[in-house]
Amino acid sequence: MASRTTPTPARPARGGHLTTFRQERRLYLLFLLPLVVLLVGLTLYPIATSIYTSFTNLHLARPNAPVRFIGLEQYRQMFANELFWTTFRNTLVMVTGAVSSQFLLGFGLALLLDRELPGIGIIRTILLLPLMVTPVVAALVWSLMLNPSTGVINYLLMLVGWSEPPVWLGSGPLAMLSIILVDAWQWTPFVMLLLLAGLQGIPKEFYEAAELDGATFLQRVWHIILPMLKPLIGVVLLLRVMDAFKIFDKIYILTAGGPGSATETVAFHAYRQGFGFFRMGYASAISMVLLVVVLVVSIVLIRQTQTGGEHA
Amino acid sequence: MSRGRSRKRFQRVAVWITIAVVLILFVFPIYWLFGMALKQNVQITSWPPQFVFRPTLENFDYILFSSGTPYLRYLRNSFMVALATTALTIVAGGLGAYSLSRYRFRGRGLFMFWVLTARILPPVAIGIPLFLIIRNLGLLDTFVAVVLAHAAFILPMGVWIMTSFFETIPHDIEQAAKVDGASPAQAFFYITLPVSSPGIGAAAILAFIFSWNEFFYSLVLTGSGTRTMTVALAGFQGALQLEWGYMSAAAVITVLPLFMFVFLTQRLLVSGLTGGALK
Repeated sequence: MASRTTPTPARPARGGHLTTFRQERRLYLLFLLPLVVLLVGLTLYPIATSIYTSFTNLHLARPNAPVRFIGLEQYRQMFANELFWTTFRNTLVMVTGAVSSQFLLGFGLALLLDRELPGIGIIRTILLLPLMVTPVVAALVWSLMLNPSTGVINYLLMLVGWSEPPVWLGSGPLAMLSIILVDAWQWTPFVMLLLLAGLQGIPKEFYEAAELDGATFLQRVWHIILPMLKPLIGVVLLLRVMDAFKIFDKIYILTAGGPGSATETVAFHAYRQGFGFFRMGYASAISMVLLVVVLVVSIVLIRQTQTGGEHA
Repeated sequence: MSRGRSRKRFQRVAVWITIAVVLILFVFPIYWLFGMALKQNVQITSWPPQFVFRPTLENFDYILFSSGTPYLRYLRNSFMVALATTALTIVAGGLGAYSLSRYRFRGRGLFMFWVLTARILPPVAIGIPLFLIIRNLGLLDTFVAVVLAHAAFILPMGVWIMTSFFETIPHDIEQAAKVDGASPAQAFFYITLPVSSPGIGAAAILAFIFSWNEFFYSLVLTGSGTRTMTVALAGFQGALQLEWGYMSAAAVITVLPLFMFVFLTQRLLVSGLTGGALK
């Protein structure tokens, strides 16, 4: 009874009300049931399986070898492996590079579009298109455009006077930059869309007051826009960071983790160990470490967002 | 006074030029993809790249109508998986979201956090054990396996969107129906559900798009019988120059239905994408 949020003014007879309440609760539980079953089956059960697998020597290419419980051996090997730490650093570079570039670009675009513009609807529609492109397709198109011998990007660079444009996917830093670029192309519009909606929610009076005080554009951004948008910015960063940890298709298509292991992230490393070399025990251990990292980062970001929301 | 006006005009021109440049940068890869799909192979690999050319449909003809083409089957597979994932998300997710929006039980906050984390889990962390489980069940290369894997991240997303939508619908209209003698189930199906169609529609569109675009789970779980379009497209990676035209045509066919969503249901799409983030 105490959990009822909205007391209805016109209440039926006491007995009838209680039955309705009980009926309601039964309905809610019934409605929750399929969701709970699916969530348990699709998150908790796989994670439990993965934790168990990470303590074994499961290797799919050796079907006859007995699966043994080997404790923390996979984790010990992983932390002693230089390649794991390389992929860890690559992940950090890719996530920070992707999120910061699309955030800055998206914020800039939102500021640019936050004014009375004829045709803003069409502009917004066009900017939605990259967001819809299948990530595999985006990666394939960009791989052809970045092709060093026939690609249109190097052609355009030569046109503007760069006599020897780079081999984009040929060296580690450039390959990393290329993946970040493709991800920014796809997701900047999303950041723009959310921040533009936020900007349009800021009451005009704030700007008028700032104009009277003779505030410059940068002062306006710093003293009005950023504080007002802080909770929204937190949400946008949370969503983008979480997705950036998941980048897989673009790595698979553009570089397959190379050259060498320059663009191999922790997620891609786990995929290759598990499905390339069939070391499922080891791959499980890697993916569980990734899971913990992602959860810790997201909890920190969620906390930040929530406290930001209280202050605003 | 006139100096201020000319400064304003200069500013306007600068804004429009910037917008034009930005639009060109963002649209160019899409234009280039469609261009390659409409070019002959000699034109695709010609140097300098051709910006204007006489279009041909032969790549599309090959992908869609050449004898024994597998791409129609891949498209059908993608469509069936996306449709089933959407149905599962809307039914299980919609009912659950309604309860979450109405029923303040103990642990509800924790439950919502679980839904949120399910949405942000790294696919590889779920994909590896899911592969092992599905393999043990003998369900590799079945649609059930792919649909369940897609639901692992799409269902939580749908729940999140629909819960925040149901929360905007006042409880009073349900209460009024109950006072008139409707059961709670009737109140939901006849009163709340019809007015919730925008929220449910937004969740459905996004569920379909995310499933259609999904690659990792499909790569790991599908086989020759269930291969989806994204996996088939990835097979073109590192393809000979000879096949770039076919690849581009297949890619265009894959993204075209999604572009239709952008033009036909933009408002729902945006409300779904930003759902929960903007209130």
